[in-house]
Amino acid sequence: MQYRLTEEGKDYLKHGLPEQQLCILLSKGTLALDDAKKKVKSFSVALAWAKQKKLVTFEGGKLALIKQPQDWPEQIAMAAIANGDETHIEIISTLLKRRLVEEVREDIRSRAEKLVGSEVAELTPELISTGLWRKVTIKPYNVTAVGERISPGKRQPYGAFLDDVRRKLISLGFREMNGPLIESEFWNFDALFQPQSHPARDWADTYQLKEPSQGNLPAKKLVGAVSNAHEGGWKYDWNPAKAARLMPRAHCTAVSARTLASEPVIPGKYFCIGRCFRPDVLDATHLIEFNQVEGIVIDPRLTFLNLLGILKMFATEIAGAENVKFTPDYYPFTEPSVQMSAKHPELGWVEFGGAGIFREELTNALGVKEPVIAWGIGIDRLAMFKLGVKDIRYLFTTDLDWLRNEAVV
Amino acid sequence: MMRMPKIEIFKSDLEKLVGQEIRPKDLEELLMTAKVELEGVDAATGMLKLDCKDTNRPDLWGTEGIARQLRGSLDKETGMPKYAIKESEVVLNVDKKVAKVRPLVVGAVVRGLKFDSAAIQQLIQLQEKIALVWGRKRREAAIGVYDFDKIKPPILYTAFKDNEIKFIPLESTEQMSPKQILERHPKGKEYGHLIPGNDFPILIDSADNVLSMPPVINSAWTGQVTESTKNVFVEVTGWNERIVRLALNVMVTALAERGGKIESIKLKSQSKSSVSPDLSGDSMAIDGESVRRFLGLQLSDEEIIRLLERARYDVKRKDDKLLCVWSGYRTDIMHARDIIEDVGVLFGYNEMQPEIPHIYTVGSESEFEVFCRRLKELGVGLGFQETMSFILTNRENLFKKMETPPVAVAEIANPVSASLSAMRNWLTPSVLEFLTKNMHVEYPHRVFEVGDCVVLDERAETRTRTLRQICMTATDTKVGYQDLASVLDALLRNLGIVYKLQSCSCPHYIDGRATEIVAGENSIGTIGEIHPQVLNNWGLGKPVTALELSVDALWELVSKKRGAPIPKKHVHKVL
Repeated sequence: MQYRLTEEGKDYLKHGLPEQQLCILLSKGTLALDDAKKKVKSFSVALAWAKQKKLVTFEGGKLALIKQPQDWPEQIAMAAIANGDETHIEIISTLLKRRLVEEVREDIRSRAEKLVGSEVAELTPELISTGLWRKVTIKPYNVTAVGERISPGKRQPYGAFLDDVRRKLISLGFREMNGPLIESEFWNFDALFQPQSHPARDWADTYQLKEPSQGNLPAKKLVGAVSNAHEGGWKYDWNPAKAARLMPRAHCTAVSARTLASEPVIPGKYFCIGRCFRPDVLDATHLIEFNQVEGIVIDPRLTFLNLLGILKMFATEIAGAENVKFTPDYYPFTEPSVQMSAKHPELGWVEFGGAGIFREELTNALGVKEPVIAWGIGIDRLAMFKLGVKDIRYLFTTDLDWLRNEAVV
Repeated sequence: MMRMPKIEIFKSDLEKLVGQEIRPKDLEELLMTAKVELEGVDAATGMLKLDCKDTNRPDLWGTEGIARQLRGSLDKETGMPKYAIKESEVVLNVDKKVAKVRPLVVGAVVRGLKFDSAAIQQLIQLQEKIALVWGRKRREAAIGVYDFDKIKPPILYTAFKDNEIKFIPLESTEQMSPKQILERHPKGKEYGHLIPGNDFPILIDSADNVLSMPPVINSAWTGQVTESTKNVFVEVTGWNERIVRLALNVMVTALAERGGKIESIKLKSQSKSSVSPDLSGDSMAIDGESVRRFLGLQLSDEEIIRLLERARYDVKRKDDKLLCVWSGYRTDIMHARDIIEDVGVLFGYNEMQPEIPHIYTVGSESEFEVFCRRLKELGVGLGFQETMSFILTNRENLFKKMETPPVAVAEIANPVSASLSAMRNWLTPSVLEFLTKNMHVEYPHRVFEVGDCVVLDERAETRTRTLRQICMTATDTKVGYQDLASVLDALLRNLGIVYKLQSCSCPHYIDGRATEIVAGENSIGTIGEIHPQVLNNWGLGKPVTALELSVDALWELVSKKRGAPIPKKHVHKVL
């Protein structure tokens, strides 16, 4: 951008800025307002800027100088501009504000005029502002050729899908619950009434933490209630040391247990989407680390038909499946339990989720008298359908090409 | 999840025991009443592949028990099956030497059997599945089935020292001592660990013929049961009375279903004398109203009784309750709920009309998760690709490759593979690993992740804490600190967080090209150019600039700003 001095600017360069003149005058002594008016050209400008720069005061009807500045940046800048030198951007905005300099319009115009009558590749700001775009032709592009391939910033599709599921569950009236990744066996198994001898708690079937290996058990009262339930129901000596052992959580049902033991709001519908860990071989159909969507429904009037109703609702709302069938299933902590399959147009019947009613021994020990339905959705399989992947490891893919190029809908 | 037994049965054999043909389209629903899921049909062999879903019902892990139930489901034979037991003179003496080795044994004789090949195959499968699943790989229950005509009672169950006994084990031709069997025989190698000491349990008859060495192997002399076997002796050894008793009951009732007649034997030890098998089951009273209320079905008491009889219970009205009695081949009923389940199963889950409960609740998402989503939106808005990686990794990735001094992390005691053996305590290594997988993909790479990490914390209930972190990286032929610094600034500015940068020295960053990010008087993360040694360690070929921030700290700062109390990450109160 080029600048040049306006007439006013040229005048000040020659004779000094108005406030400069005022200060020089006042350096000889104070002046009455009326006197100063007579002696300084553009007095109002001078006074305004002198006050703004805190150079003068007005006391007892007289103007007095506070200080004489060392230099006048505007003058220096204007001198430089007059000389054709570069100046600091900041001062230019002051000069423009005071209308002491203006942008060199000629340059713009002359640049634009050079293009008149020709075919241009680009429409320039000069052509636009001078109106000379009317006197040029703009070269046609090969507009049907695709431009350079770029990738937007994007959400990870599995994460985005889980957020969709989250939104769906909230719309169905469920409240989110959370829990720690490392659990004690107490919350992962014992509080769920799974006996300590159960094969699912064997070395080969569940991860255990090496270090630290033992955690703390919760309040004595709760631990006592759970241990009584085990000893009365399964008939063995319950071992607190085993319950205190630490493990990466194997399921989000541990979070449900924690929620039940914390005086939950009843009636209540809760859900949890969380990372869980189970030993397995990592291959196209199995993950060691996976997400689960689980939750509970608590209400005094719940019946088994409600359990079927909730599962069917998930099939409809989350998987968009209308056709479902139920099979009896068995989990150590629910009785009865149901597995639901949904009809997929191409794949036929696919297992979609399961639910059961928590055993009374379990809920009583955790302080809940009302029936509790525990439900879970096989979210990884559903994610694979929605994302169109056949290998479950793709949910956690490291394939940047795929991530960049997969459609988001 | 417990591996449930998978079995194969012959459809024709099943139909024979049920007493009628079953149409293919009825098969699946019918099998559900026996708590098995039809996985597949082999059209060529006529075999049905089944998943036995109830791990507490070994009686349903074979054709005989399934047929017994299906006869009930089809209304052909209802009520509790009653098996006559004739007392025999057979004695099984139990020596006190087994007390510390494998103390319990029960047994029975079953006569008058006529096995065909299907029956033999099913017997072997049932024995195998009970010992494997119910018996926890023979530890809690090991089953021996023998041709009784070869045996000369009384039978002795005792323990010998290695030099006291030799016999030819099944599938072998040479005589071996117990230790030799454990060392050389395949079953010895597989199950030998169940005999830890120097005393080896042996079942031996009065003609000094060894029947078997429980829980490892039968002797070659007793051999195996074949189609010509008419009378069998069944025994079960183990540690727990309930488990061992049930295993025997399932076996003998299955044999009875094949036409066999059960005979009891006397068990004599130094301290007591008893009789086995004990097929007495148990009973429980339930009331019709609680069944109706629980299931949500308007079933009359009569209808409930009919369904229970189909589930092979005897039901007697007692006062205003229903007394349900079941046979000794079941030991799974702990609560009225278990009986109510049978009512539901026999009614048929697909016959019921699902009902959505009318519970009016307001749904809500954890505020922390909402915040994380905002963060991810900013990441995407800044042009970064989000990634999601495993929390499980290994110490080499976390420390050695990062040139960072190792600290204790949450480590798995029994990892499946060494590369997934520790929970990450920071996020940057995961994101660098992602970059290594994409070195042939067009640059620049701008990648970020918001993910969980685990650190040790003595004060926590689980002595660990879950942290949420964000890591953003930029890599290209030419990329430096300033590129990511402006990203960091945009991110924090848009969260309304005021921060300052303090020069820091981190081993994974280039010295003089790294800073600590401080907000609200605390360090909330770092940003810097990754050290070339770290790049070499990972095999990365282009410079990388990275930042890692604590999302928990960001959340706290943002919540403080709002003036609202900081909502806890976990909804339930800490007990």
